[in-house]
Amino acid sequence: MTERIGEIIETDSFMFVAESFTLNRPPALGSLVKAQAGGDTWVYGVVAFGETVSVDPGRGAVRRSRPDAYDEAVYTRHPELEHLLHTKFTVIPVGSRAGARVSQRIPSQPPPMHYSVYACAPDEVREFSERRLYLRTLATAELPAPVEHVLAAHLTWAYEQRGGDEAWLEQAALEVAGLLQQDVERLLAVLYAVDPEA
Amino acid sequence: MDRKRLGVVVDGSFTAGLTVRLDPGQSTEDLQIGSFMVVQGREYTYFCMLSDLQLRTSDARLIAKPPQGFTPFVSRVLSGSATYAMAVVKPMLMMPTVDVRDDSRQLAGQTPEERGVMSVRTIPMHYAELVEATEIDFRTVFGSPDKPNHFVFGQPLTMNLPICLDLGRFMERSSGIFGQTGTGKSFTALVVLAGILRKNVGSTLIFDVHDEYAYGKESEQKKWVKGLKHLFGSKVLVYTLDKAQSNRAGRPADGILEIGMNQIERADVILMAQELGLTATASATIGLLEDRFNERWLTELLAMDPESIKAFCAEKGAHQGSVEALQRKLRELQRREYVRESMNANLLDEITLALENGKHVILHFGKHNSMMDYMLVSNLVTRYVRERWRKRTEKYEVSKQAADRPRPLMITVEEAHKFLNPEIASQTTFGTIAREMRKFHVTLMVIDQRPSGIDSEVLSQLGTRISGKLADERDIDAVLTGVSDRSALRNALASLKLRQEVLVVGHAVPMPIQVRPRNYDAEFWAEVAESPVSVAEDDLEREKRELFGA
Repeated sequence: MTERIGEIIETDSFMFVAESFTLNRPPALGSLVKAQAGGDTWVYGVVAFGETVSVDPGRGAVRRSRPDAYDEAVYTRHPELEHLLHTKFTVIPVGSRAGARVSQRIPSQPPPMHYSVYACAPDEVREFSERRLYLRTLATAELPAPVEHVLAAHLTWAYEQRGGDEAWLEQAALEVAGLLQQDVERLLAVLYAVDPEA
Repeated sequence: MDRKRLGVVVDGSFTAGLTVRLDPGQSTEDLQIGSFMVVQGREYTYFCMLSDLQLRTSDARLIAKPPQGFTPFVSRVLSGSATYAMAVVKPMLMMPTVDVRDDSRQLAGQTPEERGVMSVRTIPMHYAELVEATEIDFRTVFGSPDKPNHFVFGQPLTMNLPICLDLGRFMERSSGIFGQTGTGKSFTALVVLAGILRKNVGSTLIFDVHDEYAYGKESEQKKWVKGLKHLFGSKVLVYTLDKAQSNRAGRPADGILEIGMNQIERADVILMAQELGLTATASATIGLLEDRFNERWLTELLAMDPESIKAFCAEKGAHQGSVEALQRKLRELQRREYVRESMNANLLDEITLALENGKHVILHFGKHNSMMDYMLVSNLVTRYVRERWRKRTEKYEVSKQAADRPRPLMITVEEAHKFLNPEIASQTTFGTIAREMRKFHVTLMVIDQRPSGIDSEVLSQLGTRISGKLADERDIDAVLTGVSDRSALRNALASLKLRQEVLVVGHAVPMPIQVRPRNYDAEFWAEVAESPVSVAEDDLEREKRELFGA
């Protein structure tokens, strides 16, 4: 079993938001994560957004640093920040698993509130990304960030998780090219970002 | 058999052809215009010709501002997605897909029709696959050498397998071999003629004005090639106009052809109007002479002195100046070495009889190879032969006996535009044959480098056309006169290499195809020659020595 990295604090059919267990360290943008959905069902999703904000929306964060104490020292001097701030990440569901069966459809149920979010191990990433229908789901979803950046981040991340699988990257890039062919500027942004030869 | 996939049909129409999106990674540079391809529909498999290739982009910004600084990765991904290629293929024939899956069914039957190949009547739906043609597809459409009358003419441009001409069908209608200088028209013609002789599908009468067919010639590779007389021996009779020629070693002639002035008719003279510098009144003047003297008109005209010309003009109402001019100009005929005062028809009968008996006749011109000699002799001989075939056919129509059925005769004529240009095609024997002689079992094989000079009515009657590269737009138009799918074929014709590539269209092949004709070389001779080759190689070598010293 892989590492628990967060707990769901908002959830609906097309996205869910989880709070990260480590402040300032949400999972990598574009990474594949999975959420417990009861029993042996899991929801797979791609991290599309990450942020660290004040726990109380009415009280925004203020400056804490001093000329002799900044960055990491701020947290040492203010241990209460661990409780005043929290790090959240947004996940776009792109598939699910029931036992051994993996599907690349949006799950019929959103993952339950307060359930856990896990990172995916490289083997699982490899298995899930073998088919790439989910790229279409991702490209057409309503995203909190520009689509080209999420796609580029995902392709780069998955390419590394797959051990530098260039054939996969090229096929995936071709599929993205098909999805974005009406908007060549976005497409080129993805291609330049994922290019392993650059 | 598995075929390599090239793309899928995404658009198209029956008239304009199918538009195929090429698969990512499929380069346009691997495909050649005019090549033979297959589209696999659900019910039918379509045999097509690649007629166009087009480059497209999905976003106009890629055209307005091509991205700079590509890495190979980016350019690999872009090509085949945002930038991609389309192929236009024209379906020519189709066959039920169930039959295509069964190789044995595909190769059964003597004709494409028996194998289930039919002319195309519909088009496939979206996403039918375009695939490379396999050897079996070629065999299905173009037949195998083991079928009767099928003669291996060459190979497709991209594969090493035989493409056959159905010579029976080839001879059923007039045909043409075209191409600009240097495309190998005469070697192509030699291959076809050797095939006709080998398969014995009919008789041929060849006017060998450039001294190429009877005794061979030097090829562009500076090699001496054998002529048809060398290959087929007694099956080929050579008649020469050049007496001196017949004595030379290695060039046996079977007879010397002479022509009597009594055999020359008005039409023969009018045909040469340009060469002789005749005026428009010449025809009428000759008419008056014929009225008066019948077939002796030429002899009488040339024998007239000024007094008798005056008398003739007074009697017949001819214009004296015209008669005098005509007499002056026709003296040119009298000066020909092979023209005699008077001849009986024995020699022409001999030639015709040989043709009727399944021999082949080559008329060899030797040193008498001016255009005037050529036009005079070939028109005269052809007229005589044609008359015989017409009578034979009429007899056959009455008797309906198989024995009376005239043997198919093909007359090979070079520089065809001289006989078949729009001004005179309606008057010459060749024009008549091209237009209507199919029903009398006589056809033409015209060989020409300027097909645009040939009457379009004649061109539209051609059954099979074999054309090498043509540069002139008008010539390309002329070759494709009366052919369907001209725009597709025009591209196929324009894309040929200068040498050793021809487009074959028409009656003798089920669909148009680009072919590399066979080499006319020792291997070919060994295959077609019936008896041991009558003139040995060293004879040729000796002749070469005689001609060139060395």
